[in-house]
Amino acid sequence: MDDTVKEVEILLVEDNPTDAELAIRALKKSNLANKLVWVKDGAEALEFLFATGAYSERKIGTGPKVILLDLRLPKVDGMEVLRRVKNDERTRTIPVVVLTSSKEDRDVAESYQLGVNSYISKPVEFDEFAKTVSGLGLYWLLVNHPPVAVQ
Amino acid sequence: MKNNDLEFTARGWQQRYGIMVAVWSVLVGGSLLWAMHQETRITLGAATAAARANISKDILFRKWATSHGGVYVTPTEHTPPNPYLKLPDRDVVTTTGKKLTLMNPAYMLRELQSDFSDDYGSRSHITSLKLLNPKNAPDAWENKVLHAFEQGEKERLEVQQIDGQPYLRMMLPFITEQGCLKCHGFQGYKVGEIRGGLSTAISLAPYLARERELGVSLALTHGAIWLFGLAGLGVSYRRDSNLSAERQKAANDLRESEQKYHMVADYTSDWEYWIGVKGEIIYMSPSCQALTGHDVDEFSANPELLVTLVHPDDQAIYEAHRHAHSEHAVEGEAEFRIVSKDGEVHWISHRCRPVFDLRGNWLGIRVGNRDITARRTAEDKIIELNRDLERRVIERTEQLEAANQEMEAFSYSVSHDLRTPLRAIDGFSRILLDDYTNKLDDEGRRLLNVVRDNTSRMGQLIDDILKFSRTGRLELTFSEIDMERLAREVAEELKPADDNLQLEIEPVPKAWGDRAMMRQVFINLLSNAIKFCQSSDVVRIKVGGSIEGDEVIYYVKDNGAGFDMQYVNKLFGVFQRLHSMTEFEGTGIGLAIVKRIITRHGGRVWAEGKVGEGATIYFALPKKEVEHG
Repeated sequence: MDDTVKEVEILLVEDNPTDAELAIRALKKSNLANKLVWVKDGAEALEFLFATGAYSERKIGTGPKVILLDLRLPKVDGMEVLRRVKNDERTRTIPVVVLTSSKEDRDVAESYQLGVNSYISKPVEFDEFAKTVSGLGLYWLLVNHPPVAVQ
Repeated sequence: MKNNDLEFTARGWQQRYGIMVAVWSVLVGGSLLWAMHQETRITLGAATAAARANISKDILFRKWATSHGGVYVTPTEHTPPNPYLKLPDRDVVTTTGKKLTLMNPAYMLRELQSDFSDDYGSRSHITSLKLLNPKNAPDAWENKVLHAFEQGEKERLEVQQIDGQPYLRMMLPFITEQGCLKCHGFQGYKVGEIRGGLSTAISLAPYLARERELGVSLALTHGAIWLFGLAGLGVSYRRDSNLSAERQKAANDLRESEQKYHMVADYTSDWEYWIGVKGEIIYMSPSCQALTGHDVDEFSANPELLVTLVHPDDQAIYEAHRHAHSEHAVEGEAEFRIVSKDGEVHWISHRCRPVFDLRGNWLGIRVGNRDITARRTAEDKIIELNRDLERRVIERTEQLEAANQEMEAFSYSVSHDLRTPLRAIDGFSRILLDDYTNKLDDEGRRLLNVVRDNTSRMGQLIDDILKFSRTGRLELTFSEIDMERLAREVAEELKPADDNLQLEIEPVPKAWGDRAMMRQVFINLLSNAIKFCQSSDVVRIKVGGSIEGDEVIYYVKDNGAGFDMQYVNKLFGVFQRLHSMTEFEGTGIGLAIVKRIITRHGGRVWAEGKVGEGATIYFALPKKEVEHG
């Protein structure tokens, strides 16, 4: 993988391969999946973000431009990942979008408490889902203007 | 008690003063009689002295005459020669030729006595049993006395009525002397013999007159003294009987007060007592026996019983209480157990307060003990029951919380995990339709679309069941709700694009409940009404309500499809539908959620309807008792 070479734009944290495939498919249709890294659990997500373990050669502070985070994850759950990202000076400015099946008020409230930038419930219908995912990809990568330090 | 009474009654005083008046009268009367008697004696004494003087004078005169052997006097008609004098020289002639006759002593005396008796106020008489001159003959009394003299009597005194007048008669014997024999020698007398007697009668009239005078004055003075004494007794009686009335009243008051005190003190069901400053028991109510088994005498004999009675485990409580309150003369109370004579344990509510006299001197401690065994037992039972209840509540709560947590975990899991496969089914069906569309015929595409429709429906069902579950778990926040305004707001949001809706919202009472939940109720009811009216030309929906007893009842009425009343029981069930999917969409969760919300508010729901004529859904909420807060 040449992930470390390319500048990563989207970090997709998703344990379910079908959901990941559907998401990537939707992003690809909008041509947004070129600089995407997909990690399958919270622990791997943290290694990537803080450049440890398998990603120790990575340089912190080089993206991604947005994190698409599922909450129900093996090893370290999404909420913990969110907390660590938002509690660290180096990663705090990275926009985090929770993309999950849950519509539980509890999860929504907690996510915003921790500083999430957006909370999106995955629609069951694929058309809706595809529209939502490509929409948010477009928004965070092209519409949104991030702080300079992230660049 | 009765005898004591007599001393203070009016009758007692009357009797006592009656006796005193009688004694006084007897004393004064006795004194009067005594004085009268003395007067009579003095009168007789004086008369006797006069009589004796009279007789003595006669005797002396006679003696004198005898000593001279008589006296010669000129004979007159009044004093002729004594015919009974048998002497040779009876009649003599003086040298000058004057005739004289001898007057012997008896003759002289008789003449003196008969001629001058009245001048002396006395009548004297010389007499004898052997008479020379018959004129000197004794009367019956003198005769009797002369005989008595012969028997040796020396003197005789007697009061007699003479001519209707009282007289003191006195008689002395006449002793023969030498001179007597000159004339009476021939009669055979010897010197010293009793020859006769001299009697005199003293008129008592002047003496008696004086005595009467004195008697009157004595009677008057005694009478005055008697009356004076009576007056004194009268005054004293009045004073005593007044005093007695007062004393009687005081005694009655005292008795009444005593009775009152006994009524109040003795007839108490509490165990009451009064401990003096030295720890002695001054009073104890008889009720002590019922509680302790010991009678008043036992306590009086042994005041320490008050301490030893206390249950061994409560001795410390009692001692501390005694030290803090009794010894420092301040009010206090304590609860402890006592062990009665027969070993029974009683709970006692003990209250003590210091007592003082009117001057503020401490007189000891007044104690009231109440048997609170029944109360304590009941309290213990209540405490035990409460503890049990609390334990059970905690148990149940824990069970409920566990169930709730499970339910939450379940919902969470459903929310996350059940949707994901659905999305996959839908997503890959769609990919099939997109990427393999030319390899599928129409039937293949239709079948894939059926799969996708059902996935969508499944998603809806999951959403609905989660929503239903959430209405059961969310905490209610109560406040006053303007239901009319809420209904209007919701209706405005739900209003369909085509404007054939006639919405009538009557003024309705305010409700007490969770605003968000009530909003959900109106959303569900109004959207149902609109949904089921879609086939009607004009949609008429009416919202109303009123207060009925202790409930506020609201309704939402429509003119839509209605329902058959025989299925009314199914109306509020979860996922229960009375219409086919092709007629009206929906999962059948709306009314179930309404019912759950209303039930959680302590209310109830019901419905009325008829096929083709519309339905009315009612819900009732408890009327709030207090309007504030």
